[in-house]
Amino acid sequence: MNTVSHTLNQFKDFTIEHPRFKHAIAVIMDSIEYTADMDDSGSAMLLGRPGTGKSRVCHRVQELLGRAREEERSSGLTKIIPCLYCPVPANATTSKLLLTMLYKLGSSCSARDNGTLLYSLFILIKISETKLVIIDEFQQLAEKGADKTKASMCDWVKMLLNETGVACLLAGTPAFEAIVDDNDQLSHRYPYRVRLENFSYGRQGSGVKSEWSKVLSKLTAEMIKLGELTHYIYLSDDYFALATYIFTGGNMRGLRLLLHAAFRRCLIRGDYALLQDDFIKAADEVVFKDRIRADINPFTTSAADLIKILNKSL
Amino acid sequence: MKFLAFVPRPLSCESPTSLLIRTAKANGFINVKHMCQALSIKHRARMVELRLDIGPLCEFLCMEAPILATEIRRAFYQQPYNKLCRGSSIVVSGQEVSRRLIENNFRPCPACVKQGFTCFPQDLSVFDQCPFHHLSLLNECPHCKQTNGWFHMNGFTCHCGFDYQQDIDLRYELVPLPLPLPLPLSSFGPNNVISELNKLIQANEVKIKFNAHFDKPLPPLLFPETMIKNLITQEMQQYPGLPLLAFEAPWLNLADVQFRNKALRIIRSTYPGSVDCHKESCCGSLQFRLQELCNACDLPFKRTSELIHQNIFSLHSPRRSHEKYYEAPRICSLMKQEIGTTINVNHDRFLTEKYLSLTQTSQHLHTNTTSIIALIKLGVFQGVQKTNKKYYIPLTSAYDFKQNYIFATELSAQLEIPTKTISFGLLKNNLHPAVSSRSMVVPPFYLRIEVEQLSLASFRPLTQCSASAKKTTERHFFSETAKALSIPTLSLKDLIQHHFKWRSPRNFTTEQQLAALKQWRSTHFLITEACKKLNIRRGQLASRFICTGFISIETWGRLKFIRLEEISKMAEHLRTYFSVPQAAKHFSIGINKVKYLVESGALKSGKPLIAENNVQLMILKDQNSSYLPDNYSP
Repeated sequence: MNTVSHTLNQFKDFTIEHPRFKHAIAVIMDSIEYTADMDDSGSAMLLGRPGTGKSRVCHRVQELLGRAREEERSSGLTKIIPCLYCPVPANATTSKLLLTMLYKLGSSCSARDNGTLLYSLFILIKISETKLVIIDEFQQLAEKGADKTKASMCDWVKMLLNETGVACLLAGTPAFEAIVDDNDQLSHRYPYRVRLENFSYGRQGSGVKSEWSKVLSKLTAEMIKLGELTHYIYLSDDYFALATYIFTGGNMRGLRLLLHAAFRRCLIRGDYALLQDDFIKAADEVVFKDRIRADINPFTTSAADLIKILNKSL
Repeated sequence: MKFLAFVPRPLSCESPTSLLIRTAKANGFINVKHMCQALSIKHRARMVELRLDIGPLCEFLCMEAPILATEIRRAFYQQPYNKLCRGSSIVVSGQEVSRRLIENNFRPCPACVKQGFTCFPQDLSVFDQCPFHHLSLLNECPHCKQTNGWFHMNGFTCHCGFDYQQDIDLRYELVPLPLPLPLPLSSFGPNNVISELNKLIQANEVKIKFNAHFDKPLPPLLFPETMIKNLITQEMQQYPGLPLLAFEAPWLNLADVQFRNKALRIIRSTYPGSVDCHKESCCGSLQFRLQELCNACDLPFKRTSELIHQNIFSLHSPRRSHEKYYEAPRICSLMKQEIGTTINVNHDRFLTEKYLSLTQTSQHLHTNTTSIIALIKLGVFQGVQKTNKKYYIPLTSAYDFKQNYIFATELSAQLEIPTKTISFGLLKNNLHPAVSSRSMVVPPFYLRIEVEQLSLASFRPLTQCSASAKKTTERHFFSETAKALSIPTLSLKDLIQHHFKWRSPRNFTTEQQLAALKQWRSTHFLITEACKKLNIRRGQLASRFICTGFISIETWGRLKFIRLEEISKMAEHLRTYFSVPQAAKHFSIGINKVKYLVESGALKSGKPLIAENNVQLMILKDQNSSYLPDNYSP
């Protein structure tokens, strides 16, 4: 069982750097460089519906900037945190977010007033040589309260940008973009914006393999490698590509759920075979809200019916 | 690092104060106090301990940055003796200083703080100037003129927002050094020039200890001769009636010998000679300490105390001080008078014989000090002086008492009869104590004439039958006999009671019994004597013969005795056998080799001696001493 969970964990960590993913990372890196070079805030915003891969982009950026480490210098021993990833906590307020950020920076600083906490945060960000602050699930903070609260939250982010002088990536659902745009000063500080969306399915007979098929191809290859599969179905085949698309609607989280369930069944069985039956049962088990047709199991439906469903949805 | 983002590396000569302030600032804390609170480090009332290498903050920093631990520990102060004890001295940069010299105020050198740190002399109250830059330390903020505690410093910024590091302008801080002596204009009374000089001398002694750290050694403290001369001249004009000794008295307290001699030389050369002062209150404001008063009047302490007791000098205690000062309206004439008296007294040898102390009086009257105090309280002695919890009884009064009265204790000593018996005998002769007191502490004393009229011979028979006399005889017998037998009394008693079983000492005073004791002693030896006889060490005898039960011993009192036969037995054994260490030494081989050779049969052994914890192998001496077995290979 340990081997199964280990394999599934490895599969979970596998990231496909598709063009949209790469573009998002490039834009974020540009924003960091702009902020550093111009000594002015030119931060990025990462927008996308749930399951489109925002958090994965954030983690990848964190990896690229480097993990937290200790460095001995002539001045002393410094803890370097190039990227501060901070998901907005539940029932969030600015002070809770501040405390979370301080905790992530390794500080035990506590105070009753926000001023002291902010002071500690600014100093620690400078000392830790942080290049990027990522606030994930920002909509949880932005969409909260009345207009006045939203405005004060925008001012808070503005102050964070001004005082720290580092780029601050706001990641979340597209809803908070409007809130940011309402505040001109903050809006101007976010010239870089990336939108992540669900995958689209290439038209039938176009000859050019769609992005979806490429993603499926890479995922199948990874499953074959990790599970040492001898008998398997190939998901980038037209039928399975269509079936998975009908099931997930092009959403990466839905695809991950489906593949995880099917791959898990295969690994538990231990016959090194990934069969259609696994996907049928996985599709029955997993409840996913964004399915194109929730009433059918796409892996038991014929190809012709699936094409009809797809055309109808387009 | 778990709790801190940055642990600074201590700079050369940096003080722990500066290091902690920098650490707090770099880690986003408002001040060191905030850091302590956030890290749950107890800090109340122990400001010095936070800067010790065994203190919680040093331990914490070392734990956070183990790579820098050695350097951090070196920067912190040490307390080698009585660790974390409030009274124990502290080692700063290798020099031991008193704990009270460690400052709690932030007082940086402008040049040091400009570089972003402060040095250890800035933590010591004895330094007024930075020994590295020769600039005055900033005891207060140049902007708001407030003092800052190091514990509350936000970086190197004052509460008012003045940043010592950024805002300080060295051009303005290069002020000329203050005069070494902000002298109070008086040699007498509290806050005088001598105490100020003493403080400077002590501070200079501490400063000189650190000379090795500075490029330029600190200059020695110079005696402010002109200033002192002016002061003394002025005082001599102001108080013309004071004797020379009075001017000298306060200066005798100067700690430095050279300074003291210089000051005294100035006084002696400047003193114009005493004149009679006719003013009513010319020197009424002058105040002297007790010791100064003794010196000024050239009186012993006893006499000075007496004068104070007679309210000639009135006491004056300054506020917030433990010092006591004495003053008098015409102190100059009083002093002259006392100096004259002293000279006469010394000629007549009167003063030393005028009074007796309590002990002297008690010895003189054959009683104890408690009885004398009781009699003083009863008012028996006239003219008793009490100073500082001590009584001085006039000699004449004590002689008068002895001429008229006698204590029962004196009689007891004369006749060697207990005091109670004396009292009883006197009562029987209808002789009552001179004072009938219900108090138990007043001893019975009688009119000497009445006692002398009695025939003391009537007390003689009492000596024979008194219990104490019996005891004395018994004690005497025991001590004499024990001495003769060279054994302690306790052993003798034990021997008589349990070996000879004689009932009481009176029953064995015969010659026969004494001979029996001597006979017993001639056949029994103490362990020390046995060792001497056998020429072995005490430990050797104990381990080889006593612990193994080879001989039997007798215990009388606290001593162990060995019989003559046992000694011959031991001597025989020593002649025949080696112990293992002896054999090892004899054959020049190791102990383990000897054991091995015995086990292999190469060395002949005798019957082993068995002790409680071990078995001692005995090797026969009757083998060729140069013999080493053929099968032995080292």
